[in-house]
Amino acid sequence: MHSKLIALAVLAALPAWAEEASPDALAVQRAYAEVFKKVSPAIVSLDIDLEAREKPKSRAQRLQDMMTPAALREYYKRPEGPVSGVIVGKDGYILTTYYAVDGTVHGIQVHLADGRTLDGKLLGRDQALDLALVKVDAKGLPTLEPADVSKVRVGEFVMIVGRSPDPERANMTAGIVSADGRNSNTAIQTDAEIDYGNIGGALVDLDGRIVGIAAQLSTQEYGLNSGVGFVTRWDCVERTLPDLKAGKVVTRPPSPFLGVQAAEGALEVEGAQIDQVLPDSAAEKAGLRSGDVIREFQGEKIKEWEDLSKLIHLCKPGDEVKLVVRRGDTDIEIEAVLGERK
Amino acid sequence: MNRVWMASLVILLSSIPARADDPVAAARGVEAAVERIVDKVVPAFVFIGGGSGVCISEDGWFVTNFHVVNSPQGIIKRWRVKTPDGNSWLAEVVGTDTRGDIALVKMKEAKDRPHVDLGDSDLMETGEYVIAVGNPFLLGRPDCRPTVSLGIVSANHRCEGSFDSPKNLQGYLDCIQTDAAVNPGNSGGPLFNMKGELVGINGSISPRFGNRVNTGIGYAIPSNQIKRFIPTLKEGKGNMHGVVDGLTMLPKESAGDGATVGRVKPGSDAEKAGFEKDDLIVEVQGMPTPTLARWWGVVWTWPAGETLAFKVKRGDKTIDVSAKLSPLDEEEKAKQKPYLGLRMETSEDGGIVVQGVSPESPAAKAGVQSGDVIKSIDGKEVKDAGALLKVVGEHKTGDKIKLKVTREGKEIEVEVTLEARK
Repeated sequence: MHSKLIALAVLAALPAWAEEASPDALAVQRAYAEVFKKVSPAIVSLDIDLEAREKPKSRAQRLQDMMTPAALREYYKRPEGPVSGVIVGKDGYILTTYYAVDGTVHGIQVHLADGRTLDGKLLGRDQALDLALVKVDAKGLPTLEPADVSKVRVGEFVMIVGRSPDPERANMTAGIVSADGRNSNTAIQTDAEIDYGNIGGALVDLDGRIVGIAAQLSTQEYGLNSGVGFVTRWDCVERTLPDLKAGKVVTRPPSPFLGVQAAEGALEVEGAQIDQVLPDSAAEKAGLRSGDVIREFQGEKIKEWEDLSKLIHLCKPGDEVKLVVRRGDTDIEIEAVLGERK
Repeated sequence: MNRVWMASLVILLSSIPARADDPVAAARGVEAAVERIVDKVVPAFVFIGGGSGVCISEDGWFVTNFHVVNSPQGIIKRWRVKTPDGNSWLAEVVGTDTRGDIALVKMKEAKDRPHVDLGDSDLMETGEYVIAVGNPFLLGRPDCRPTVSLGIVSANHRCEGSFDSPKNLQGYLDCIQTDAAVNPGNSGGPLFNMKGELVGINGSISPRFGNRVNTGIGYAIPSNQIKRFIPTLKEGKGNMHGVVDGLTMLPKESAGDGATVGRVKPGSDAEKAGFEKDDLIVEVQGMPTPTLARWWGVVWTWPAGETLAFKVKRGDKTIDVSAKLSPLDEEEKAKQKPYLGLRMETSEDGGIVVQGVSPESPAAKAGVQSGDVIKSIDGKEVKDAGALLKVVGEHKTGDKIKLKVTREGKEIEVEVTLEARK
């Protein structure tokens, strides 16, 4: 009898105790943990045997490269190594990023959450959406419920789940939806970190529903690992899946790229005033500097940034272009070879 | 008996709040709070140049960083700016705080503009959520959609700049450090608290290996500093930060108990205010200053001309001292136009006749008298007042000029030290 009374007294105190142990902050943490458990079975890891895009470097060369500023910036570029993928069809359809398979693919190994490793066959891919579809021979695989992407709000809490480099351990980063409608309305921007561990993984909401595929839509924007990342919207994915299943390959015509961020709307400045020159870009190689004002492009007068942007888009990557640039008090001529926006 | 026991158990357990059972619902609650703030503050955002700004009044006053409106050729005063509603506005830079990296800009013909209130940045605590709105990598340009990022206050009252000497004060001497993602393009943009109040202007990040991208460390100029400078910014005056004239602090770090006075210049404001060598300054304007960095941080956030209250430990006594901040830059003082203080008339036989001398003016201090006829300035003959004033205008405050004057038939040389009008 006594022990039962004591037990009841303890239980009576439980609600108060529970109140203290679960303020909203701890609940948010538990929500993340629950989403992770729900989502990670549908996330896979892919080892893609891709023919090297450039001649293999000697160890000495690689060590030397590591010390140069350009090589240090490589930190932000896509890695070679296993990438994440998302199971999008019970019968073995897996999506990953286009750039993970861009080149000659000699083989794909898919590591599932249940421990199996299966051979993967590359089907269709879409460069603009940065998607590639892989097929494995399996049935009854776990998939994710789709979110209603039209209802996505800026500020929404989102998480990215990936499975790289260790196929046995999925991982998660968290953040918010930073903006919608990016990249011609094919992408959602997030500050949840996209990095080596989760490129190709799934961006999900607090209910574990998939909002998009965490694909970097460009290799040139170094900000993608600095709190500015893009995911291909799930509604775009759904529209493209039939084509991908049919093996369609859609490449984007290369877009010309100079590599400057210019201030817009400076009324007293005749020309496009450069704010930033992006690393490794055509602009950097041509010697353009922050503060330069581009006043002429291929003989055409530039009054403001938009003029420059329009003229660049009339060119092709590889075009040699002549610019007249005001630096300090003098006008100088600069030649640049337009690069490619990847 | 067992059934009663079980029933009691069930009743008690079910009274545990539903939240504990539904963490997703709780998380959705926090999420909704963030979304509400986003809806409220994004309309006040301003796209300017290669950076961001935020509107603080109905009629279109907005704040951005000085470095957003600056260029190697000087400050760009006139801009066409855009807002998230898709409208564009002519705007003019009215005032700049170069050292504090703030610019106050006015949208022309703007009314009923969405705007935000400045909150109390001193209240921001480490761990609090903050929301940054900006235009990193100019992603928002095509469709006027800014970027929103969420993070926490990593530290408040951070000193991100240097203060090894008053001649070398730079950077953000008092700022809010955050891990909310901010990148080039976020400069000048707002940092909000969870009440939707503006608590900082994002302006600086700590880069990695020279890469100008976010590494989890961003710095925002605090709203309390900005609030204090707005009146002077509206007047369009130049450099505005100040120091206590004549007060030299000991450069070495103290034991964390205050900032030590190294030297007090005789005859200076510092001496008149009552500072003494070896004084330990423990509080400024009610804010504790346990280190030299915090001393500079607090002084930095008040404009020149303000009188600040200092708490000083001297021996076993605690003393209250007040002192006015004088403008930091000698160059700024010099930039103010010099004057003589003379009322003059051009006489018919050549020469400038002094009709009156303003009391306490540079001319008065030099001994120029009514009736003097000025013949030359710095060896150059001057025939009329206009020519004389032109020469004066070519000098800087503090310059010494030689006037040759005729007084009662005698030729006298008078040396005048030029000053700025008070």
